[in-house]
Amino acid sequence: MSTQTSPEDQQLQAARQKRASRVAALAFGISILAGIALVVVYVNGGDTQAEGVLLTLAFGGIGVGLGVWVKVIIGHELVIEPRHPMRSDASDRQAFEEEFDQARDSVGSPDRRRFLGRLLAGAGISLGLALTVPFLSLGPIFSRGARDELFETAWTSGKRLVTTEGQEIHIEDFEPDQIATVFPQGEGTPADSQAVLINVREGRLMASAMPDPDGVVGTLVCYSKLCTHAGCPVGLFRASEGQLICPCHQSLFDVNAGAAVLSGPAGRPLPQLPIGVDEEGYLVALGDFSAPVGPSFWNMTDHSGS
Amino acid sequence: MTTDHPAVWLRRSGQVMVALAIAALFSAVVAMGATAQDPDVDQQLVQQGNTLYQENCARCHGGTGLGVVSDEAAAGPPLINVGAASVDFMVASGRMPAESQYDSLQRRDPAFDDTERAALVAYITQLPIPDTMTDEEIEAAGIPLEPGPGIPDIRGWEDSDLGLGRALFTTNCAACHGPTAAGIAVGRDDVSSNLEGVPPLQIAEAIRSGPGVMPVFGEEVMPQEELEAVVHWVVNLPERQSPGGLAVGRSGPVSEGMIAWVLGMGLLGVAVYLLGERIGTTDPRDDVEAGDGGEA
Amino acid sequence: MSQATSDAKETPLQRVASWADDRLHLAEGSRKYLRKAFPGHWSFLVGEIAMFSLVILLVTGTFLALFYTPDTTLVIYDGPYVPLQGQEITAAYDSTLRLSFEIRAGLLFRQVHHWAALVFVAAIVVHLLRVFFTGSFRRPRELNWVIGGTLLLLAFGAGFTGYSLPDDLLSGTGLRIGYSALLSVPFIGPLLGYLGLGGEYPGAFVLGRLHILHVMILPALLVGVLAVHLVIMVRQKHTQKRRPGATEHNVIGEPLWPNQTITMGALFMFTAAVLSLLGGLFEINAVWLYGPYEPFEVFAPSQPDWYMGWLEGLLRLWPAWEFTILGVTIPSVFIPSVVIPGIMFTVMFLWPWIEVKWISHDTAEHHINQRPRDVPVRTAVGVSSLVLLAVIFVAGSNDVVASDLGIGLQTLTNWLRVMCFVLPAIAWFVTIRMMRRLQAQSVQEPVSSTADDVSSTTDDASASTT
Repeated sequence: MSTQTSPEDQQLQAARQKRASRVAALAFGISILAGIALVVVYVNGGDTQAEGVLLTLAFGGIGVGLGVWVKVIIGHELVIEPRHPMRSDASDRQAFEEEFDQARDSVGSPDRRRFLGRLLAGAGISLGLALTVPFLSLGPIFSRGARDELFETAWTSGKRLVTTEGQEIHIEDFEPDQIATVFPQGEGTPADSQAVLINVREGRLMASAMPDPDGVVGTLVCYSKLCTHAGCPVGLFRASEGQLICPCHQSLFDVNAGAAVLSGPAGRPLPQLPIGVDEEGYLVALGDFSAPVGPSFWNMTDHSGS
Repeated sequence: MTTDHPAVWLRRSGQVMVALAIAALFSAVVAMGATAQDPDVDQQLVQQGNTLYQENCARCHGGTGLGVVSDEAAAGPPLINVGAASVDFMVASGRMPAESQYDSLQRRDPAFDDTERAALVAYITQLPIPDTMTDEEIEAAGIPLEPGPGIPDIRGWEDSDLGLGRALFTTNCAACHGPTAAGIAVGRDDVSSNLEGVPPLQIAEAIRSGPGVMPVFGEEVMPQEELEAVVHWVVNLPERQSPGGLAVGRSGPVSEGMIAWVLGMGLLGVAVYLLGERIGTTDPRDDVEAGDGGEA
Repeated sequence: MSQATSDAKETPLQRVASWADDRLHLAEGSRKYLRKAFPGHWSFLVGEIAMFSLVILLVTGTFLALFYTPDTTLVIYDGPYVPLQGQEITAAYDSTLRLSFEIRAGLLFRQVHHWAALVFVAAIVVHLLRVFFTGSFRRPRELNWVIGGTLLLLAFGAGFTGYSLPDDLLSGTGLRIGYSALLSVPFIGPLLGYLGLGGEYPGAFVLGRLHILHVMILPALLVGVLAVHLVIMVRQKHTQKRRPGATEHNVIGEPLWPNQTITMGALFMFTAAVLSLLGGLFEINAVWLYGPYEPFEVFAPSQPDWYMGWLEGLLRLWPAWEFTILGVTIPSVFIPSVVIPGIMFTVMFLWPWIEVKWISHDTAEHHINQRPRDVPVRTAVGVSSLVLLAVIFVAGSNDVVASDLGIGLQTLTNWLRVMCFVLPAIAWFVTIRMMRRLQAQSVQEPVSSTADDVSSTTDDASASTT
């Protein structure tokens, strides 16, 4: 600290420091009390809000105390450190280089070094590969059906549509503007098989716009519930306009026209699930979806491999 | 519902009104289950409804409920066969009568009292499909062939299963209304309603009738006990205390991020400002202590 | 022993220090650090907030890890939260509810942990902006700039894996979108998806793998990389703000002992206090309201934590451009979720070299910070990027903004698309003009900065001759 201060300044300074000491003492005192209170609250069953506030006081008390201590009692102090360029001196660099080269030359003639060095690199790469390959076990990429999984769901022809509670759906039970999430009967609720069954308003359905115009039952139509953008369930149904919206990124699909994209980031329509009615009047699937469900992937148009 | 305060209303009114009030009570009970063309419907109530309808509704919905197709402000859908739940919901929540077809149909103070509403329900639900219309014309006009849902009876909602309600709400409602039923933009200019403070019966009527862009959840998809459970959960939502503390805005990570920046980084910004050096406010040259670092 | 004579006067602290020095020879090496200069401008302390948040994350996270189970086995919930009683939920979600409602102080720790994560990334970002706009990344600190960027990426990863763990409806939705981004990569997307999840979505091992990433691999990397960040910083010494007496050949600041040490102690306490306050009084991620994750359920609004908001915004803004060339489909998610973030971070990482090559042509060492006005182009690049990110960020919660402002959802989105071009352009020109004007002003009022310029040019000369 600077030394040329007048007596008045020194007096003032002393008074400030005395006051600051009191503030710091008070702050530390609050911290002690808050800590004790915290234990009491905890032992008596705990309360998130009380604990949070007491913890704030305990930490904050120490913080204020330390802050006052360093800013007022110790006060401002500056030191100057010299700084040198990061680059080493030329002589040091050269000495390093020489020592390194000297030691390297003991490894053998340049030809032998090169030969052994290359073999060592080869061994390293080969070992690295061998050690990396087991990580392929992370996923079932060698199993027979793996490459088909993205193209297939649990829906097959004749499977009844059931709600998440397992209820079958009779053709007469479904009112206009009604929507239900359906799964293939007996398969549980596999994520890739979720579909929405919608009863659209009379006369709105454009069969020609459907991938499978015969896969609708009157005004009943069924689509994959997985958004073709990022795979969220397309749960938001604007009934009066026959539009489905994905709540994640707001892709808008036209239910009446093959779930074509009206706006938003999705790149293709929701795949259609062709449906029909069995002898007892229950809704059944006529096959799998009209296209791979969910977010697009690079080879989705080419399923010749299966 | 007209069953609420018929007694208060009775005392203030004359003889005719007494009869009307009893009729209102009667008709509302009927409207719960019965269809509109029921011969038991009180004709006097229907008459009152007719008067109210012609004064307040006919301009947009047409004198016989066929609706008005127009580019002008006064255009509205047909009301034939919309059902008692729909009419009761629209009138009770103040959405109807609307100012024009461009009205965004927000919740407002209702324009009619309980009796007047019962009269409107009674009148509109008995509007017949004109015999002169062919099936094609009916379809083109958007008139349902069967009457829409009646006013649901949800007297048991307070005893229903809250857990079932939560699960059903998440499956069927949260996609539009949000996890806390606070309402959110749902495409075009529409915003789903904030359900806080909405009377239980109106929640049930909306579920059954699907007002605006909302889909319909009928008896088959959502049976009576499930309907009551959903109502229970929605009514219960605002009352659920937040064990974690203040739930600001309850729009999840959006408000949380704002708190983290404004309050978290704000307070810590003050802390570093006080703790750190503010070069420029004092002349530091006086304080520089030379030499100490020189030997390092 | 020679020390025995003075033992009588030693305090316990001195005895411990002597004991340690006798065995590790500490005094000689440590002495010079006691008076190490820490340039103490308040903006230099923001990085420390990030560091202290990380400490708090590690402590609270350890507590949480003692109660959390990354298990998707279904169990029947029988805890105190009535609306979920009797329902089948995963053991992971069950353990999250239990540690929130049944473990004393569990909810407090969970909330402090989550708030600390939000503040952690916020502090990293502010610190990064300070370093960027003051040119503190210039030679010799390019490496530490890249390491700092790596820390930011690791923080994103730690955050994402963290909020995916509770297995509530919101966390599952985030995971679903992350998986879709992985799947969209041409040629290897499906493979990556399989390897990451152990099968088709939702996969069998997701939670277990996220858990190991979140509690072991990412924290270890964060701590390790942060250590390197700090060692390099000590080795290179701090930059300093321009001030009287400051040159390229010195560091002016408060000494490590006692001033800086106590200041850091106080700041740690304040960080802990603020996070405790948030954790105790403000509810965060109310997973009990969201309910358990079911792949066929979702709610609106679904937003990620704030630091992922720009990614979410990109996904919401990007048009539906999906095309197939020669049988190879480029999914509409690929560009906004993989390509653009990849470009953004590549440019950020390479910025020190980009600036040298195209803007400053200055390869000399620098230790005195610039003012934003000193390099108007850099400042304009920074401001425009920030404005662009802000627009994208708003788009990430377009549904919330639309309903709050009463604007149509699609209308708002289309406006934001336009704003992505308009506002950064405006910001560019306004910034350049402002910086030039400030520059002109500071020429009129001379500071001692001319001395620095002279010293830095001599520095150049010495560097190039050696």
